[in-house]
Amino acid sequence: MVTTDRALPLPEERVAPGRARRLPLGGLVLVVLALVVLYPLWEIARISLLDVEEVNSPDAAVWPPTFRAYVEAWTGVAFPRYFLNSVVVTLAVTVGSTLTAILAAYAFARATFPGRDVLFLAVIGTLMIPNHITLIPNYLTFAKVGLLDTFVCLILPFLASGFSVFFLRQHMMTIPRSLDEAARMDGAGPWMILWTIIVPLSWPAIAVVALFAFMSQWNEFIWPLLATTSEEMRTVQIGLRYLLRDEEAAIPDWPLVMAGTMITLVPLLIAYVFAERHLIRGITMGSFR
Amino acid sequence: MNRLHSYLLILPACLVLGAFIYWPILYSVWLSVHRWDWLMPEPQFVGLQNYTIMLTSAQFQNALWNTALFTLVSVPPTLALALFVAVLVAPPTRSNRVLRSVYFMPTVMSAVAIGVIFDWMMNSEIGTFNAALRALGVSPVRWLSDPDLALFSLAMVEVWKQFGYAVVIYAAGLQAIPGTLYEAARMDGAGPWRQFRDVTFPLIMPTTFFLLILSVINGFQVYTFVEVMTQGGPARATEVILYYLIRVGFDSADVGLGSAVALFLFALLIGITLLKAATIGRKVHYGYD
Repeated sequence: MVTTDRALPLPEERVAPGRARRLPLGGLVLVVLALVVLYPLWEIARISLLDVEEVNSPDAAVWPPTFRAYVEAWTGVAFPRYFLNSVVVTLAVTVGSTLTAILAAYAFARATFPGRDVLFLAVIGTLMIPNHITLIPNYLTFAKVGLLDTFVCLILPFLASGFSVFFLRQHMMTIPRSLDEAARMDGAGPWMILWTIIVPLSWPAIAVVALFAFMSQWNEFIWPLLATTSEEMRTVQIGLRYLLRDEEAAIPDWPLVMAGTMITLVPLLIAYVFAERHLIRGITMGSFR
Repeated sequence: MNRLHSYLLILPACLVLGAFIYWPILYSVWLSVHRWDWLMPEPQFVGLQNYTIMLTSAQFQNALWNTALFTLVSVPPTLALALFVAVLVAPPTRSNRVLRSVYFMPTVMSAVAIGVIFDWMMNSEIGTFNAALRALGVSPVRWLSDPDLALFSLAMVEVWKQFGYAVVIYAAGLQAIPGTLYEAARMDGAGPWRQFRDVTFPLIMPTTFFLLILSVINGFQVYTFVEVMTQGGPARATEVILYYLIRVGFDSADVGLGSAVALFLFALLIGITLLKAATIGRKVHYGYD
């Protein structure tokens, strides 16, 4: 054993690094970074409550707030329609892709059938495939059948997700098979077992995949940008992009743009506040597969 | 569950994934060896001509260079900042949990909303960034309209959006490092910096590698910030591969050339992904168990 004249550690050093008292400097850096992250959100809120003319003066007071932008966004023709489109598409995709994943995951987790492993590999292989390769072909496919610029083409390509199937299957594998057996003894068929045993025991995992589907679909940008041609079919993300760069107006109506941004962000931020823990669990699990 | 049941259960998911992810890859290959645009209503076989056009095109080379530069200047700062922050916020205290969820928040925000708010903040005349520079007595810069600066401004936004995700992944990785190693390092008289350099940094390498690959893949697919904030300008200084692909394939309707570009990017990204797959599970070992 090596002896030094400092056999006993100094008090500060005795704490494990995981629990080390944070250096004041480190704490300061963390708080400053948190402010850097939050500041743009404050800017969105601040600008959205200003008058158009006030935007140009850096010290315009938020108080008293002007709700002109929100009123205009909500009573105009365009934005409520974009919002409705986004709600329809996002709900359809969230429910649809979760359902197809439940069914497929159940078969992959519980059944044996020829080609199962190859098919499962093909399903998770889609996680590696970058989305951009599908843009031109899918556009041409929908153009050929005359379904561009419809809800069908906004929803259909997203009705299955390799991630959801994979995530649910991993969860279902952990449910003891003895439960299936017991139900089978009582005369339950595979369909009954799925809905009375597997699904009720999979709620936390189902919530994670539904949440992921909701968030990614609400934020989806490239496909609806390419696949919609009429203003009535735009989703909020596309609407926001055109609100910022209107073909006619040279300078954006900044309060209106920020009010639109706020409205676009609210559903997501609500979901985030309520489900942040599930989200982070899903992300860390998904990344260490 | 018999075979018919199993196939019926996986049918919806496999049908959607097959039709909208796998079929487009094959279709892209076919399209990429044909000429098909507004001038040529019937596809005509041209062999590898689209690929030679692509590889010799100055615009394609410019887009490829811009994408690589964007990735190069956004990824290392993101990972360095994230590791630094993760070390500070890894201890599971209440305030650290709050900080982590704040940092993670931009990850769930839509890229359009982020693009809109930074477009405002980086506005040359009335934006927040230049207001801050003026307050500091520095002459304002044209963040998004200076060709030498615009790509770096976009990279800055990318760091802002992505670093929270890397913090969460790093924090999960840090928890897996045994505390005994830090104790041993302290016994040998290592201070916080030595502990970081000789214990944390080498042992977190697999996580760094994972994040590096993932961020490079993300960086090469950057599109939305460009579309919202600069539209590839000024003077194509921010035109990235995906932006070029969509300009060629959709705006110019040259689907053959567009598909060649798509397949080029596809091959590049799949190559990087396979590099990750080949090294996964290979852990850095330091003779502990």
